[in-house]
Amino acid sequence: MNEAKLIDELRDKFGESVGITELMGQNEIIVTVEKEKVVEIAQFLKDTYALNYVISVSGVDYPEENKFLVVYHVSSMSENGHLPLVLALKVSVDRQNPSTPSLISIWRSAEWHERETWELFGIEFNGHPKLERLLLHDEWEEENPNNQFPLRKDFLLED
Amino acid sequence: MDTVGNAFVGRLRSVVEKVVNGLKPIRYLVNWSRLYSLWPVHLTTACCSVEFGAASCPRFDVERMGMLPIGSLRQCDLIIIEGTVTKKMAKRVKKIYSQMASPRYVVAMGACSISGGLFYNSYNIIKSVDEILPVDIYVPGCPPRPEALANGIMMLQDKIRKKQVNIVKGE
Amino acid sequence: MSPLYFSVGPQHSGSGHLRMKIELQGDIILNAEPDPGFVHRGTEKIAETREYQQNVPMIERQCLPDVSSVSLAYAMAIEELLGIEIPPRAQFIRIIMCELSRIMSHLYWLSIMGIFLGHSTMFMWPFGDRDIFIDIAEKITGSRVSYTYIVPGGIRYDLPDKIKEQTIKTLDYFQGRLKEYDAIFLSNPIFERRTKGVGVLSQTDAINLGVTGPTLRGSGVRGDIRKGIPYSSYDQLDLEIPVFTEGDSYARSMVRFKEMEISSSIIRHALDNLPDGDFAVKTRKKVPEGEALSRVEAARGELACYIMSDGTSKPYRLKMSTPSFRNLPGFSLMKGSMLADMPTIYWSLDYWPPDADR
Repeated sequence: MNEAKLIDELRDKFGESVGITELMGQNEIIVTVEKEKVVEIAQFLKDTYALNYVISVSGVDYPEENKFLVVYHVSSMSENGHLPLVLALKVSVDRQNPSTPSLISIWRSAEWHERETWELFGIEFNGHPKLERLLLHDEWEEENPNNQFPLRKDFLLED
Repeated sequence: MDTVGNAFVGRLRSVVEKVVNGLKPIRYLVNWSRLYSLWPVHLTTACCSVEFGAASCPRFDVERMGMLPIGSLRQCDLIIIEGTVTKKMAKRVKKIYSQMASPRYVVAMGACSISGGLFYNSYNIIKSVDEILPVDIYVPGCPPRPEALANGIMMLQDKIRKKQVNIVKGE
Repeated sequence: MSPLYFSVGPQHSGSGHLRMKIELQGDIILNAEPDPGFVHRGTEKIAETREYQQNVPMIERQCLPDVSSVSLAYAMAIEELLGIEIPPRAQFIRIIMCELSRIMSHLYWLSIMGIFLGHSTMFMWPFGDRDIFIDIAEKITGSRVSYTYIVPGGIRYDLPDKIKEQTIKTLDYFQGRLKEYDAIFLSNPIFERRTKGVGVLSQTDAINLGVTGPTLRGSGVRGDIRKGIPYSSYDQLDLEIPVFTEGDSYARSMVRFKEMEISSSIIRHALDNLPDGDFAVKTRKKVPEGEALSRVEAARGELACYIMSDGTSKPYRLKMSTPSFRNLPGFSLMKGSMLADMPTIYWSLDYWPPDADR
């Protein structure tokens, strides 16, 4: 599997929507994309390169750059097991109005991960059928009216 | 739901209490029957539950002291809080405690239920189970060995042995 | 007749705090939705306030029946960021600890299966045998269940004397026990009636829902990271992957049972071919900027650890994608089954709440 070929194809097809790409060692690619085209890019990756198995969805907070990054780690699984490629699809989201299209229509296994990222970071996933409370308790909003999302950098823990 | 219940009419309750506490053999018998059949609630809060399970296993065998985890809460008289109590779970732990019939005892097992343990500065835990329940015995450790838990139960048994018998609601 | 809505848990006669919201029509479950979060302790946020070495005990307590795999994932991610190579002796000893943890976790699974199915001998015997393996771990690491033995850079101490003899003696005894377990527990007609055909997961659904571990291998997918993308020194050891195609609870149980046998042979092989040398290398407190993803095969499934570092001695973001959380979609298997089959399906997924909630 030629990782460089995958990156070239992505750039050919989606042009400027594909930002920084990196080849990390063997079999690991990082691709940063714009959120407007992320659904089409994900569909292309699933159809052409059989990337159909979500490993994790993480949010990362960059308050100085005023953005969130949503990182989807996907890999390929067939009847015979794992294929070694792992692709990290990074979507940059504005920190003041965090929302991005949900990729649940392409990767069903992203459902619970996206719900957790919404709850802990506050990033809206448009098109997700059930963005409801998952890990925190029901009175959380009343107890923390000003600062509801624990994994953001401005939510400080007491010492 | 509170376990409010008084099976005695009028001043009969205080008379019975005086008699039972006054006569040492009867008081001893009542306490003896309670301390050798402490049935804990089946509550596996967090990681310490692995050692609680190991305490029931053939090598350590706390059942010889009378501990038998039972399914129905109404028949339990001991609740062992093993592990961290989160805010989401605290409401439910209080409810479980209120559903047990008295006399009921509480053992806090593990560092997390005593003082927060490794997760002391988390945003989602109750630092000490003292805040929501009246604790009788603390068993420190992370996790405590099964022998430490058995020792804690024996200390609880000593405590019960010396207790005054109270036929009060919600003891 | 209108359906009945009720919830099971969080306190139930099983293992762990999970609430399930069930919609029942007669005796058939129409919908079963899990409600996790009762053991959410905020590990990922706390980890950002402590140094990498200080996080090791906290990371392990996510999954106490199976400690070594979790600490291995964390250590591997940090070693990738630091760019250091672990000596072969440490790799082999790490594998021995991981396989011992796997056996202990599967024995715990089997004994709690006894509680769920109402078989008290199935609770007592595996728990008793688990103690013999805990003795070995105690001799190596000094602690019964929470080792803090696999750290970034290698392992903390070398193996003690005579541990090989004790381990081989235990494994010989265990081989006989496994035959008894098969005869008494697993080839038992009642166990087969209760688990065969219950909670069937097809191959395509298993891949689409993203489940991992024995849940995946019980549905005909040969997915095991130890073979597919070997890490540590697994490429130097013989490894079989048990795969069953039926996709029901019986298949998932048999996968775990066979894995116990296979882990025993891996431990023997590793002990026979243990290389000499150092057991650790020096590391630095400040980890260079970058990111790393490490994947290991824990007893419950695939565990992925993603660390982003900003050049200081504390992680910028630590994300653990745990197998129990990834197996949450598996609760949809309860749809259409009888209420009496609910415990069987629940525990055949091997869901451990502190692992899922972190």
